[in-house]
Amino acid sequence: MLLIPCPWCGERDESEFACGGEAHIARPPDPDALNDAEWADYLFMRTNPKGSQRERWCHTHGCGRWFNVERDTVTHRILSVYRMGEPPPKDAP
Amino acid sequence: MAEPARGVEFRVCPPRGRIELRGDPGDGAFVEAASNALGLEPPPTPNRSRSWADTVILWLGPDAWLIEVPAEAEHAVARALEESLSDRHASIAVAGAGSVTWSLTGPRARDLLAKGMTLDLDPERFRAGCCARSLLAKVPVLLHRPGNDPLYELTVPRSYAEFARDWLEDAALEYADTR
Repeated sequence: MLLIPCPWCGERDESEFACGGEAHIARPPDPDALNDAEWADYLFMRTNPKGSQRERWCHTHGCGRWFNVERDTVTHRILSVYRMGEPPPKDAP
Repeated sequence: MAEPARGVEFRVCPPRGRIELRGDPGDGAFVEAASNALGLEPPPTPNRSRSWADTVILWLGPDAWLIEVPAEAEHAVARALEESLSDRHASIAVAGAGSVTWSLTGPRARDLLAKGMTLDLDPERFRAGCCARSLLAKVPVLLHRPGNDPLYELTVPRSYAEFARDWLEDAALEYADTR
């Protein structure tokens, strides 16, 4: 079980949160201009790295806020947490 | 000789008025208008409550608060907020009938809650004036520590109230005769 440091509420148990998948995926500004392969790439394809990944999480059963978590997909270690709209920290330890 | 104390006592609180207020705490005019209507400034600090006279304001999120007032004052306070905030971007929702609050007290109250919650209930961390939304036995709850008596106030959505009561009663069995 993860202990996730919500940027507002501090450390809370994973059961209070919902994971929203990979972060920083921008919706294409003009979807009509895309072909099916490009649209499918935007909708479905994720980087799925082994190691550090930036994800969106929502503190559903706490303050209800979405924020970003940088997590190691191998060790589950949380490397950094930052609010929506904030730039990701450069390189977490 | 004093009556043997039960380890934990919990009872349903009388109905109370509740208003959910949302708005931007960075907007000084919003804070001022809300404070004027309530006689109390919504607490900006996460997971803290603030109270004065009959009014309690609990922090729910960075832009959301729950205001607890006597049941009979609920609509009057909501109207005062609506008037005061008429030119601000804000949301005011009367929510008094939507949930049930239990008061919990006694030396084992914290142990009872800890059986079903992952929240850190260390009295040094979850002090008087702290509040938090979390889960109790998978039920979304709002836990408030108003002071020492009652120790905790547990607010549960009305649709979960029967389940929560059954859970509390069952979980409290082992504390029935402890001091």
